[in-house]
Amino acid sequence: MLLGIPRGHFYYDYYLFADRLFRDSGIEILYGCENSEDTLKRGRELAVDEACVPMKLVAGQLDYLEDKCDRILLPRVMKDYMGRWLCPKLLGLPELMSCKTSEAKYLITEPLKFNDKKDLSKRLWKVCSEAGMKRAVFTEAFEDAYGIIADIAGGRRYGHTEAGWEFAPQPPRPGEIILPNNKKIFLAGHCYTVYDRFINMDIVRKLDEFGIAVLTEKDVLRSDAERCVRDAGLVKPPYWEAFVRLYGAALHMRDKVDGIIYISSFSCGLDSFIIEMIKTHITDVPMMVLKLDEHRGRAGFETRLEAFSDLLQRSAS
Amino acid sequence: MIVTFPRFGYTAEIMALFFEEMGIQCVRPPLNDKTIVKTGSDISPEEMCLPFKYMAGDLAEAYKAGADTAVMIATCGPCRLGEYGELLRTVLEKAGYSYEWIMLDSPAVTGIKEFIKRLDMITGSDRVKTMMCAVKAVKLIRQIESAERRLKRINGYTVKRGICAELLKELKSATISWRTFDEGFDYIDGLNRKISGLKTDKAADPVRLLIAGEIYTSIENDSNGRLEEKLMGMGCSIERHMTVSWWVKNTLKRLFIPQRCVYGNRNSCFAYEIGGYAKDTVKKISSCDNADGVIKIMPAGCMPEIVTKAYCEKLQKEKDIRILNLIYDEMSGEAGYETRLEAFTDMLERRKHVLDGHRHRFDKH
Amino acid sequence: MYWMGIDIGSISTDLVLLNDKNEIEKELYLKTGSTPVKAVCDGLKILGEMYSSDEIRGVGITGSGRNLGAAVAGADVVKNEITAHARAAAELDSEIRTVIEIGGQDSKIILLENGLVTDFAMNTVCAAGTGSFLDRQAGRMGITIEELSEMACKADGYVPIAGRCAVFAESDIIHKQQAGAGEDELMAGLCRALAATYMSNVAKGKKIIPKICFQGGVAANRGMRIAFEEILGYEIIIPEHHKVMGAVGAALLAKDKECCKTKFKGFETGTLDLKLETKGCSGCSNSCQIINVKRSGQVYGCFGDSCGRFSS
Repeated sequence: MLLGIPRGHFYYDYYLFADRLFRDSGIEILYGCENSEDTLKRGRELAVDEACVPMKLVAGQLDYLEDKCDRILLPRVMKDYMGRWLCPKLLGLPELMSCKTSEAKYLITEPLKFNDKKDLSKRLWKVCSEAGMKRAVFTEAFEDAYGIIADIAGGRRYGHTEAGWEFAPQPPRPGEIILPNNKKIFLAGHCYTVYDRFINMDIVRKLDEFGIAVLTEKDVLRSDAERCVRDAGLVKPPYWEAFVRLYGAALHMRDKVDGIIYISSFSCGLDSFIIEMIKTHITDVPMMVLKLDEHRGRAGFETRLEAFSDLLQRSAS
Repeated sequence: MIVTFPRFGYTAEIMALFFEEMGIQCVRPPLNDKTIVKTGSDISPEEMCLPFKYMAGDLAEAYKAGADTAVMIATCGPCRLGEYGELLRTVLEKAGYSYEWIMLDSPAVTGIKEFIKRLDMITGSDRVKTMMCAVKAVKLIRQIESAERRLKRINGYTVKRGICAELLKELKSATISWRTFDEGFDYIDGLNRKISGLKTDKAADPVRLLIAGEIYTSIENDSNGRLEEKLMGMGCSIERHMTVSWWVKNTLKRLFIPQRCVYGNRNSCFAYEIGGYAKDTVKKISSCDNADGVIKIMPAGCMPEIVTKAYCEKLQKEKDIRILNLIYDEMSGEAGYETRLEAFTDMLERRKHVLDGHRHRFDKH
Repeated sequence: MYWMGIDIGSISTDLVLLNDKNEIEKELYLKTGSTPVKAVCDGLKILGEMYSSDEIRGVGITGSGRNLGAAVAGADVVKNEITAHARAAAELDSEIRTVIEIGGQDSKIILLENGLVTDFAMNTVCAAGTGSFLDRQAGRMGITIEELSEMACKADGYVPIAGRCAVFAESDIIHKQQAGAGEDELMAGLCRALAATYMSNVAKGKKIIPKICFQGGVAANRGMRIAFEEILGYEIIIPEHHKVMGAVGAALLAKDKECCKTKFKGFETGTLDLKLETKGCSGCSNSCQIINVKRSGQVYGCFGDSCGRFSS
């Protein structure tokens, strides 16, 4: 059985989890392709106009996987390990993809809440058994996989590391001399924009060319982020996991980097809130917000990056 | 302490009555209009949704009028609404309007003790009187809205055209002038008698529309470009899904009944709460049999409603429901909406009458 | 006896006279410019030289300036463009199922069944997918829109241009020019980009069934017709009077209404010196802007009030 998993949204956050869960199961997993103009074009035709670019890409991914797999897994993740909510568009992902998901090919999970282990295991088992996994294999794999998530949430290991590999700078070609990067920035944003080279127009390589090293959430322990948010004195406990991760990571990173670049996809509801909070409460570090939309105007993007890098380089002297 | 609160349909007037009755000074924000939303969007983050901009504008204006304490009722849906309180404080403080905040979150988040403490701050110690007033307030809102619902429903059936819109307008200006609850109850009694006395034409067959979608744009008239007034002017009989009384009922239900009981029918495709009132919108749209068409409204960028839009597109094809999607933001010009609305009602009307074998009627405008 | 239709759009103001057999007796296509009142008056004046006011049985007005037109000329039917265009297309050929209408500032798709509208869509806020996209690009390259049409027809093949957003399209064109693309192919690419934008923006999710009718100002552009035919794979009908279809529809709607006495104020209106005056109304919380059409200080007509207490 060949099971397709779209490369988007959950892919970067739950890659380790999914990888461990299906490793010994005998189910072959096909992750979606790297995003490209083609995925975007397909997605744009399928998804509603108002959806953000990452959503359209997921739609494109589904379309890409459709004729290559036996079944396609579309998880509905609702809460993370700490019991915080994800973006409403993700909660309603199967509905948002209504144009596709009515077909029998799709394996849609019941709401997955990572803070409730028993419930999670029950709901995943439903899907896995349908995909033909053995009970004994599932029980063991689930224990391990859940342990990974627990370790990341508890600050015992870094998250996103696998996603991080993918986007590390190229090794030097023979004869090439690599100068050490003299500036560091924190690249904030949802994992599906930060680690996706297509959406962010390979920003990491660009910055590397400017002599700027990039730190992302993969360099922040979740527990540090949590602590920073706890100490921030908010009126009420936040309930979005993305807010805690990004705002917390930015707070944690504020004295360790020279600048913050926030990449945000156009019309992202969470970002409108998170960016405003970061802007207001972290004023001592230069910050730039890059809006990514489907028009992908490269020229303006590069100009802005260059200007920001100039600003950082000059502030050094 | 002079309290204020963002506008939300009739709640602003009723809350003012409540505070007056409790002997707490309060300031009502001015009626929402283009200047309010301008004030609000000047201080709000650019991509924030429209309700937020209205609320920020309301509170900024109320501050100028002397208010110093803001009361926010924040439900905890996993959409941006739940973080409004936090962000409003940040944004308003930055703009120089530093309020004391009383945020009435659901007790599940703040803890029941903290909730009662916050409640006490705006009610005083006389619990019995508070309860009495609160019950009265809810009752009055329900009565206003049920009268409103009747007016909107019989619009298009009445012999005297435009009478419903007129009565509705009178009702709106009356709510502002009330000084006590009893005044309100008396007025509604009178209004109900008037409505019952309206002559209707049984043979009339106006276009019947359902307005569904995001709650704030449904309830606040200015944020939807006075959609209902326009439709009533076109002679449609309308029903609105979202009302304040619906919201009160729903919020209380969510507080006291555990989530898993509210989940309901798991077999239907849209079975889960995804924030906002997306699930309820879809349920209403898919089960509306007595309307000729649905107008689905949302502010630009509303996350839950984007999902419902996608789902409704599918519904539209499967169930032959006619849906007009309208998306509002603070920059929208009126002309485009009017053309769409007119074309939509024209379409429904022509279909209705031609399919029934009648000639098209053009005596509407 | 004639029925008159007026379509007041952002670019052009069209006047049409229909006779008893629903044939076009006379059509006028005038530039709206910055003064729609003057355009309407000019049109009335021209028609007034040929016909007398008694010959007009009814008047229908449509277009974005329909309320203004009604206040100036007097109208029996004031309808939106979608209904008007649909009515005109249904009259042309009752088998038409899809109407593509692209005007200067907006574009629409109308789906019909047995001459009845079943579904429609308009472009969203921005001007992508409308005629102004071509106007702007042609203006930037210093050619007229007719020349653009000619060049696009001559081209073999086209240069792909990102047309989702006018601003980005512009930078893309500059890039392609620098890369040495042929001018004709570039023009064909522009038409193609507009058609593609229309398909993905306005016509998104709509099932397009032949016969397809293409009307509005942009239909004059043969390059656009080719582009649509290539994308859709169907033959496209362009009505003879494609430019004034809105006005034709309005006239037909006025005829449908069969009123006994028309509200037409007469062709003499065209010779009057009319001025617009805006005043705020404080009658209710709506605070509408009332626009009065004034003739030497006297109110000649008015619109803009949502309650209708001035205009009726």
